[in-house]
Amino acid sequence: MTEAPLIGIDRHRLSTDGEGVTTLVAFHGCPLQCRYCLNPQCADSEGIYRVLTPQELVEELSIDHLYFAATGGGVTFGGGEPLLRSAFIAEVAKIAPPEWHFYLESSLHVPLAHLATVAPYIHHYYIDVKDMNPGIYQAYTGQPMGHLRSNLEWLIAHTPAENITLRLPLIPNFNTEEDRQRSRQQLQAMGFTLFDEFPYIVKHPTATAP
Amino acid sequence: MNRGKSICNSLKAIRQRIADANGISYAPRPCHHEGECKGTCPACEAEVRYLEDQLAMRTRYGMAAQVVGVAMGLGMLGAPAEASAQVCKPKGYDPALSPISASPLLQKRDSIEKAGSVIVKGRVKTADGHPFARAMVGTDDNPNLTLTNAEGEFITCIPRKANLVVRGLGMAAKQVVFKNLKLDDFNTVTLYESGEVLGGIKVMAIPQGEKDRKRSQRGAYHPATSPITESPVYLKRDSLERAGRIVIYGRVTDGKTPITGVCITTTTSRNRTETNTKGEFIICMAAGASLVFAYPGMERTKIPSDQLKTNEWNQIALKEDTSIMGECPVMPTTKAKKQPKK
Repeated sequence: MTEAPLIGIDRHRLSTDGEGVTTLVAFHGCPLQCRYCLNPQCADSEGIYRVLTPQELVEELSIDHLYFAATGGGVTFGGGEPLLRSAFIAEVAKIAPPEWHFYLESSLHVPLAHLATVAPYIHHYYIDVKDMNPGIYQAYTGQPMGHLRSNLEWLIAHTPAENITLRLPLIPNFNTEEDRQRSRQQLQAMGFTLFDEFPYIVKHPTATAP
Repeated sequence: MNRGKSICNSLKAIRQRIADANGISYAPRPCHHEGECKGTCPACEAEVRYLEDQLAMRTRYGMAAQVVGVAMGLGMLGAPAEASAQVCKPKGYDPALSPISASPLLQKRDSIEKAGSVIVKGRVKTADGHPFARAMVGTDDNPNLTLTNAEGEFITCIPRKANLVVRGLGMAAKQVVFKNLKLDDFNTVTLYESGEVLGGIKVMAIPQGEKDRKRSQRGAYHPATSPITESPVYLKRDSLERAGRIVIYGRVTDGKTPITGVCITTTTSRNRTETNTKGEFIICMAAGASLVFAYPGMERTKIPSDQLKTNEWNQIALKEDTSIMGECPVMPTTKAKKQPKK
């Protein structure tokens, strides 16, 4: 049976990344090496909190079923990169009570097949875009943009824009407000309408500016 | 107020909303914890389990449990100022007892329609024009969404394009296809006798509208709100005792103050009741069985029948459950822990 390593389960998040009361399920593993990563344990082989099957996870999350159902809340998959565990997420969504909503926080830095696997179940996406400038993106994440643009195009073609929030951070020492606005214009031209703009908090700096 | 306390208050408000929507007697216990609050604790979790038990009990009684969406918009930090002032709360909405104008659905019309559902209201009557109370109203997939009240009126929310289905005891089920439903007006549904025979007893078409209207004028019995002298168990106690059953009544307190909403079950049957606003209860049980008293934050108390008095008041004092006081260690942490190597 599919199992997934987790770095944390955080209950009772109120309208932070999803409507109503949500529980964040944070997966271990990430293809990016972001310089200011808030959860560096997701890339640390010693950072695994628990390993659960979909059934075990649903049973554990069910403790808050009443809150989920009453508030339109549910489960937010984050990490790490949750789409690396797309089959697991799809399995959870299939066996969970129908009242639960599912939210996804992702960088989309994965092959399209992963995104397509979970798409039927996701109520709202929170996409951590970083920056649409390939140079800035690579400098900050340590990886080329890869699948990001094509996955964004697929997503906007298959999902209402109102169900996608794009996160555009101001990344100290890596981009500027002008860079951010250029990214926003590109994304608006693709059809996206919801943006969350905020400054990154530098908690675990692993490098200086490029 | 710290973040954990704010979360705790929001969750209390959500619990209150669920209780009110289902007519469940509930008031959050005052919290005297002074240290860091993580948003929940064993006492809060016990209140959630209490609500789940109450909802399950209502479902078993054939009442519609309303949970989905009843606390929409309450999951906002800082929103639930109402949570800390729970003492004088409005009486909960009960579809079988309340006017439909008191339905919480009316405040949620926008979010319901946004979610692809519609609100439908109407009146169910018999062929001779009497209102039909306690008819079950639902859809093909979910037949028990709500009940009609003493006036035969109902209000419910159904998925767009779903057909409305109304069922009443002794009456043929009536389906109204979605395209024939009026969404902005009352829908009148007439039920006709089915002539159905159950176990050799013909189920008569009940002159229920008239009967229930008279009943509602003196107040329909509900264990949480009615005096025990209106209970069917009290009214039938002679025949129950002749059949070898024991009728037990009494008052539940915390030593001084009556406790409302204590869940009382028997160990040998599915009989359940709860204490009313005076802490009083009445229940029928078999000889040799025990009564179990459960209330959030109080010790679960089991009393065998030979320690209970018949034909006089039983005074039941529940003790506070000290095992769930103090620290609040329930919240799982996001902090990574090392996985033991297999």
